[in-house]
Amino acid sequence: MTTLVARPVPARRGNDQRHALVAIAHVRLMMLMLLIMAGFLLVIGRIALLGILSTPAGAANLAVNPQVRGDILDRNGQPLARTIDAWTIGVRPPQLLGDRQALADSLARLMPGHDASWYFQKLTMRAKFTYLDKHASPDLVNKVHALGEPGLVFAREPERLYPQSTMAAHVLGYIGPTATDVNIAGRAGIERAFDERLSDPRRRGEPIALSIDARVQAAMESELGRAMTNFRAKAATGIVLDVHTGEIISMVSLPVYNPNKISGTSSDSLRNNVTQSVYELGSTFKPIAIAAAINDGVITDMTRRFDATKPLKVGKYTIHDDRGDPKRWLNIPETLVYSSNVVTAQIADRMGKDRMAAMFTALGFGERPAIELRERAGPIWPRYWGRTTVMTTAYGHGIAVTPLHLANAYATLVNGGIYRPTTLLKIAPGAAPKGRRVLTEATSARMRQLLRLVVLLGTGRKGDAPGYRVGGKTGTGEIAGAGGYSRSKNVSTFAAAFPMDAPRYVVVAMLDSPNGTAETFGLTTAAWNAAPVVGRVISRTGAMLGVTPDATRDIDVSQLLPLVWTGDKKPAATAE
Amino acid sequence: MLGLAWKSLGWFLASVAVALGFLLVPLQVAAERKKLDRTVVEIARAEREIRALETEFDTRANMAQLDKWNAEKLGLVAPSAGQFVADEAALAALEPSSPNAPQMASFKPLAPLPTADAVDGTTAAPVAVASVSPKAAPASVPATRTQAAVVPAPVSPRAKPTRDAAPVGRTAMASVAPPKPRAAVAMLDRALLDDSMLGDLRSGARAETRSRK
Repeated sequence: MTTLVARPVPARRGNDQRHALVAIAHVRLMMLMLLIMAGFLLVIGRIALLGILSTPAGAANLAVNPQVRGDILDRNGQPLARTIDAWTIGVRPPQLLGDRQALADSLARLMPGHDASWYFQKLTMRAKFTYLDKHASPDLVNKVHALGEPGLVFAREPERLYPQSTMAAHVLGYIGPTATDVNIAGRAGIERAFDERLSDPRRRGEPIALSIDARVQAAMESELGRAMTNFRAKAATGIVLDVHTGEIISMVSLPVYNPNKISGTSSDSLRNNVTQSVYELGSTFKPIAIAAAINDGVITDMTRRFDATKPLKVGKYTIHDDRGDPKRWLNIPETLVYSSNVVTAQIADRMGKDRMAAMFTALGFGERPAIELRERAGPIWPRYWGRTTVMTTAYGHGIAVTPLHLANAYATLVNGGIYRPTTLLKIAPGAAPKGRRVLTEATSARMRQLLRLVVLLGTGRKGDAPGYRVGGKTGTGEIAGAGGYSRSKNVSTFAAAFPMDAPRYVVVAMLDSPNGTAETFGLTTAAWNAAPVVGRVISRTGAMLGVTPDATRDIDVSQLLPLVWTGDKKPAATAE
Repeated sequence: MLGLAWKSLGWFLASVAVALGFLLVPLQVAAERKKLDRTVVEIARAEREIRALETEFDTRANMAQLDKWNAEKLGLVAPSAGQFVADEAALAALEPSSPNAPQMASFKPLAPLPTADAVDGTTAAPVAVASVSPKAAPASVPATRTQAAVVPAPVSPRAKPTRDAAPVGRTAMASVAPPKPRAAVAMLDRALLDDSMLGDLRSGARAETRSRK
């Protein structure tokens, strides 16, 4: 038994030591575990944080609008200008593998724009990269891709496209570099006026809605274009204007250009004749003068007669009427129906310089037309208001304004007498500017009757559209050149509004230097060329614009009708 | 001792499982998000493609082009004042079969069919319109699709069906027209539809006219 002597102390000590060691190990393990867990927690926390808070990977690309330039739409949402991704085909000559001549031949077959030698020259160029085609169709890209040449590369690049091609070109404008500025930016029209807004990364996603109605614009362009060709006119303009809001529904300037392909366009085509060209618009000013006279109380009685039996001599000038006009004493309706210069001049003379100039100023003739476009020309305002100036401006000579000025003045004449600035941007219903009163309500009502009479009995008969109650005034202004006014060259204008019982739209058509044709018996007056354009445009588009044609309704002109002398025969429509 | 080790291993495994569980959630979220991103990119691409196609369509069918086609081929014109009615009452008061009524639809109603005994076999005027194709109308073959009680008269050479029919109305809505002896499909250029199609349309119209009586 004695041999079995245990040594308890060392054993106990060892046991204690082991306990201590185990404890230390535990502590260390625990610390390690805590560290690992902390590491885990850190990673998990980070992942969780990323998962919860971070933005998705593609977000950086998505947040920026993919479009590089905003769309331009018409008032019904039809695109007039868009930026699309166009396929470009390029070549990296050093990377070409196959036979270059054979490749050039097949390229010439697929893209007949150039011949094989041109392609061969491109393929053998000592350059890293060169373009072969910048506006390829996807179909063509597929075909070229099928050639299987690794040196040919394809890419999509943004390209500005005007789907309607030449339509509303002067409204939209175009983009591109210029000789002095290599940046691609808007160079005319809306593209220029709203360049910043269209290219602003935050706002280019939302399109600009114009006041233009593409359907009306197309009808106006087609009718005006036909008239311009028919009468071999130098230029032509057309406007449709909403009289209650100042929105321009259609603005046409011919000759036109194609904003998709701007190179080689003449400066004549680039000029927007509606806002950049000023014309002496002739007799279309007479209603403005008469309205001013009625408004200021110079004329209080429609039956008041003025002498038109002989030309009017003022100093060394003589104002005379056309040969076909009746040489009688004319009352106010007759003055407009027969378009008498002599009587208008007398009325203007009674009104005097101040009231005449004040009316023109109130209608905005003293400044550039109110519109967003940057292409605006100032009117030619008489430098000296002599007695004759007052007289001649009353029938539209001696003062030159843009066709847009005239359209807006007519809107003021018929809409109840409120002048509003014109705009190319769509106005939300009810958000039209208040405008300022230029004429009294009564004057405007009288002008509607008078303008309707001109179309019913006078020179505007060819401008009527059945059922649409058109009222308007023709004007044939002689063109001033070197050595005085030209007898043969003129500016024919017809300014009209419809429906006259509650006017909604003003329509103006103008032809610059038209020639006579067999149908017009060689005549170049507005009654024969500009008025029919307006008539046809109104019958084509009136219903689209929300005016229901109604043959049973019309403005009441029964008060004025008996005042107009129609002679033995119907008054000749050739008078101006 | 061993128990303790098992226990801590148990704890360790449990915590690893929990940690993994925690780890999986954000991973799954990230995966979902990625899928969403891909869908968004796909949507954006589809929208771009729609835009490109729309633009192509607009470009091909631009107003000038449509105007040209209309001038050359279709010859549609805007409806005239007489083709509008003032209100619902006026619309209801329209009697489509009266001689001077404006045409509402693209069909003109047929003139009343002559009764069978009125056909004496000498006139080819009320030729059954279903047998419009000249070669499909030999005298021996009865026009099977004419619901009309008219036996086609022996076809005389001048009875080339439909060719001498009334001129096709060329307004967007057919204009007011005096009653024509036979059906004419307004608005359609003859070249646009083949004769059998026109025949089908006419026999359909005829059946409708009959059912209205």
